[in-house]
This record gives sequence, structure tokens and C-alpha cells, in this order.
Amino acid sequence: MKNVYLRSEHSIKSMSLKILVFLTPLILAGFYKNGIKLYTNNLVGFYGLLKPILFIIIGFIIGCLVNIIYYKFKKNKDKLSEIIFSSFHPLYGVIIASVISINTNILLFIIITFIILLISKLMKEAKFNVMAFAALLIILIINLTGDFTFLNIYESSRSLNLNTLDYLLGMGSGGVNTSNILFLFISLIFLLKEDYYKKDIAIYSIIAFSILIILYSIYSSEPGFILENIFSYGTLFSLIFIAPDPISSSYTKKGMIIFGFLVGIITFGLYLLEPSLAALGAILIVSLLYKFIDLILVQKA
Amino acid sequence: MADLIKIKKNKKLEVSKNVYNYLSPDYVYLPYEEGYTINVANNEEVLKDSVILKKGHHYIYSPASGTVLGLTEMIIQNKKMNVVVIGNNFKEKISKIKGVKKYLCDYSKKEVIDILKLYNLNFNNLDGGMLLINGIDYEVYEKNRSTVIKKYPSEILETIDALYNILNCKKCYLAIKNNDSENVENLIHHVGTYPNIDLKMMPDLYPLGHPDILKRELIMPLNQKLGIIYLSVDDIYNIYIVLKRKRPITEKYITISGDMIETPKVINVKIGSSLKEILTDNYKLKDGDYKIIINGLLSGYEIDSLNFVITEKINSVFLNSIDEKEPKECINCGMCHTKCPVGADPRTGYKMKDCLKCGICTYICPVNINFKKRG
Repeated sequence: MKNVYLRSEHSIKSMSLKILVFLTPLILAGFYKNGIKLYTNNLVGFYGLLKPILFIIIGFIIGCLVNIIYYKFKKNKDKLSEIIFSSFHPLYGVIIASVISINTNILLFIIITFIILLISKLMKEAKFNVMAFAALLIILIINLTGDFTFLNIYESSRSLNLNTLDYLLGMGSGGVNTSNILFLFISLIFLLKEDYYKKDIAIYSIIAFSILIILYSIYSSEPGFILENIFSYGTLFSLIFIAPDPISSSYTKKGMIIFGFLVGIITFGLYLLEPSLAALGAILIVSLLYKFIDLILVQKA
Repeated sequence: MADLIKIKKNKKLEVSKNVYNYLSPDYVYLPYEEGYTINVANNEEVLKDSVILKKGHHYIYSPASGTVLGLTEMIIQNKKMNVVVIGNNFKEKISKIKGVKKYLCDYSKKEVIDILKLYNLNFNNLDGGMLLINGIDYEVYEKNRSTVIKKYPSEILETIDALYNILNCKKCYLAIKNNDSENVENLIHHVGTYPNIDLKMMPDLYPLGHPDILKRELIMPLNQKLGIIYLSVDDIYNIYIVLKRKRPITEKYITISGDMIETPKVINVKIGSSLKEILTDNYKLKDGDYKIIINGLLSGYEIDSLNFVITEKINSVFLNSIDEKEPKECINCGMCHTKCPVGADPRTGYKMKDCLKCGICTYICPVNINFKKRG
């Protein structure tokens, strides 16, 4: 019988938990910016204080629930911990919660995230980036229902004039995804060391997007806003945590580079139209093409 | 070496530093394929190293002196084969040998090739300007090559140097693992006498012990044009035995390990020994069910029974407890492809003709897919 009798320590559980650990500083920064800071300024109550963390916990629970329901339905008798981490859905829940605005209605977040994650679980092979799709859907629905802003009460009550250092130190407006660019880069450094992380996608998408932003800023005579444009609207977070999704992105070496460049270029294109949705939209579009990139452009070329 | 991987080791499977000999089995079994003629009769007394089976110019020698007991069938590398059984008389009687030269360098290239052929050491290619000697064990936990270097450093270096001169090589590399401190120290101590030999310390990465990978990682493309003569350290030691003593190879170092074995160790056994006898006389097994894995936990294969004969192709035996992990659906992480040392993709069949069967794709898979089973 042919087999391999040694196994690496990689598993969905270990991969998910590591990414969650790398996300933790950002989550805590988001908790400070959108919870503690508002509470200490008497802008929100106890619920408002906990809301940033509640989103994260609920996102995680929805992911776990989807896995539990799916496997109970399939009468799988694995241990609960194995069922919970049988897919990346708990991680997806957390990342979706990190991308959306703090002003999002929790019930809407729960319903949309649950439905999207359940559908993606029922599909044998996900054909698109679930995180980008769910986050986009939530943002679009909220946009349709009324005045929508990524700014929290503190930010919308003041006129903000943020500089690059403000973004780096976590004073940028938005959810967990823009809470602290410095922490984001530290997370990226740790992620780059991980075998399973599709680093080329993150690196090449950031490079492509940054180059285009730089050229655009120079062309439009706004060179002073280059870094602000790159750091704001959660673009970097999406390129680092959402684009390299194992399930819905290229996995061949050349494919990852092409995928990354495409994401970066399309992100820039959409950025000119709607900056806050640009990266999510680009990732969703390119994720639909990953098989074509790997099989046709790379392996059959 | 970006494509090669570091394998996290389990200390329980590491072999002890001491090397053991088991050169007195009760019986030796000589497997043979169709076309061989048996050179001896039942109950005939045979000397060690005498010819037992013959097919053209290919001979199978007796690893022990004793009595021919007859023929039987045994499992050899997962298939049933006929074997000649010899009962060991433990006297190790041998015939006299003639024509041995005192110094290895005294042999000509033609003489070397002829002698090696006579004793079944058939190497594909002994022409080229680059002599590459692999002292790195291919499989994780195997320590056969490092044991040979540890036990016979001066013999190894003497033979490499002689071959370098006999085969008119321009360059010579001896590759060993840089974390094999004992051998690094040992060889550095000896290698000064052999200025032609370039000692290369390589990182402990898998599958650097594979000939193709070692050639790729060690030798610059420019030097590859010189033509590479590739030999392993065990080949070198076998060449030493054959040229220096004009005797066939009848012994072999094998690694016996696994989590069901109390003290894993490297053991020098007679080729043709029964695995069951080796285990019974030399190892203490833990209670419980186990599987028997031949030639490594990553690239090896499983056999059903201990009724198995050690041949020159066997490097290691592992007795491991049964712990099958259920495979899950592929998550498209791509590590089976990105970590493949030849860039093959076992999911789509891309470049699979270059597959080394190293097992990395299955080892690295986070959802336990067995790509090896898929072939």
C-alpha cells in the first residue's frame, strides 16, 4: 500500500488559529478605536463599548455554527473541535466582521454572514471569495438602507485631518481593517513566514496597487496623499487577509503572481470609483478567474 | 534551496548513536527471479561468498557459510519470490582470494569497472569530470550513510580519492549534512590528506538526499557540463570492499525504527537475513498493533508481514502504530504544488512525469489527502 507515514503539523485548525493570532492586535486596536475610545468620551454606552468585539465573536460563532450544522446534517461523528475547524468558516466570520463598518446593524450582519457562509459550505468547491462577497453584500445593503458611513461616532462628530502617522498609529477611520497599519504590517511579516500563506498574492497585489496609486497621485498633482491613499479604506487589510484566501485564489507560483497583479490593478481601477469597496470588489472578481489563471494561463501555457 | 523543506523530527524515532552488528542469522534467504540457474545442490556445504545463483554474468553470492536447505517462497519487496535457503554454520568459511592490489590507485579504470561488474556493483555512469558523493541519507530518520561515514571515514576518503584519480575527474564533492556534527568533525580531521576532495556541508532539508535534487542544489549548471559521476557513500564503501578484498557485498547497514520499537538503532546485517529474526533477536517491540514500513516514512511502502527478506535495496524498516487520519476535501492551498521539489502538481497531473515520489505533497497536505495512493 502506498502512503506517507509522516504528516506535517499543518491543518485547517492550526492555519486558522495562527491567522486569528496575527489578527488579534488589529482586533484589539479596533476595540480601542471603535469601543473604548467612544466609551471614555461618553459617546456610547456599555453595548457600544463591546460592539467591536461582539462583531468578531459573532462572526466566529457563525462560522463555527455553519460547520456544526453542516456536519450534524451529514451525521458526521468527529469531535466537536474537529468539526468547528473542518473549514475556514470561523476565520471567514472574523474577517468579515473586521471589514464591515462599526455602524452595521448586528442582526443584518448575522443574517447575511450566516446565509453566505452556509451557501459556500454547501457548494462543494467555492467558486468565489466568500469573505469579499459577504462583506460587499453587507456594505451594499446598508448603503441602500440609508446614510452609511465607515466613520464611528467620534470620527463623524469631528472634522478629521489625518496624516500618514495617524494612519500608521491607528487613528484612521473605519473598522478593524484600518485600525492600525503598523500592526497590519507586523501581521504581514509573521504571515510571510508561514508555508500556507500565499504570500505572492499579497505582495504583488500591494506592489501593483501602490505603484498605480503613486503614478496616479503624481499625475493628478497630489503627491502628498500617496501614503494616505494606500493606507486608508482598509485596502491593505483586504489585500493581506482576504486576497490570499486558500480556497479561492491561485496556487501555482506564476498564478499567484498574476492573481496578485490583477487584484492590485483592478483594485486601483475600482478605487477611482468607490475606494471603500475597491479591494473587496477586485478580490471577488479575480477570485472567479483563479482556475483559469492556474490551469489555462500557467499549466497549459 | 527554497523548495526543500525542513521536517520536524520526533525524538522517539531517532536512532541511538551506537551501531549494532547482527551477522549470525540462523538462515539466509537468497531471492532470485526467473532465468537464474542454481549453482548448488540440496544439502551441499557452501562457503561464504561462493556463487549460489547465476544468470549470464550476474552472480548471487552466499552471505554465510553453511548448508543449502532447499527452496521456498517469501515476500520480497511486496511480491512473492523463490528463495534459496542456506542454514548458517556460523563458521564464516571463505575461499582464498587472488589478485588483490595493495593500493586502490593501482587499478586501471577498466579493471575497476570489470571487478565491480563481477560483484554486481553496476553503476550507470562512471564517465565524467565531476565526482559527486552523497553522504546525506535520503529519508528522514535513516542514518545508514552517516553511519558508514562515522565507522569508515578513512576508507571512504581513500576510495573517493582513488576513484577521482582512476576516473580522471576534475572536481570532487562529498556532501554531508551540516548538523551531523560528529561526521563533520571526523571528516574535517581526515580530509586534509585528500586535497582533491571538497567537503560540502548541506542543510538538513528534505529531499536533499535524492540524487537529482543534490545535483541540482550542489552543482552549478556550468559544472554539470563536465558530466557527473554520482555515487552514494554506501556505494563508495562497497567499492572499497570489492576492490580491496575482492569479495562480494554480503552485509548492509539498515535503520530499524518506529514508535513501536523501544530502542531504534542502525544495524549491520547480512543480506538475505529474515526481518523477523533480526527483530526478534535485536529489538524489543511495544505491545499493540503496528504497520511495517519499508524504506522510509515519506517515500517508503507498507508490507503485511515480517516474513520479509533484507535485500541490498532495503535501507530501513519502521514499525509504527496505526494512526490513520481521514482525508478531507481539498482546500486549494496549493502546498502540494508549491512545496514539490520538481514543481509538479499532483492535483492536475502537471509535470507528474518528473515526480520523485518523495511524498512531500502528502506530508504537507493540511487535509491529509494521500497523493501517493493516487499514484
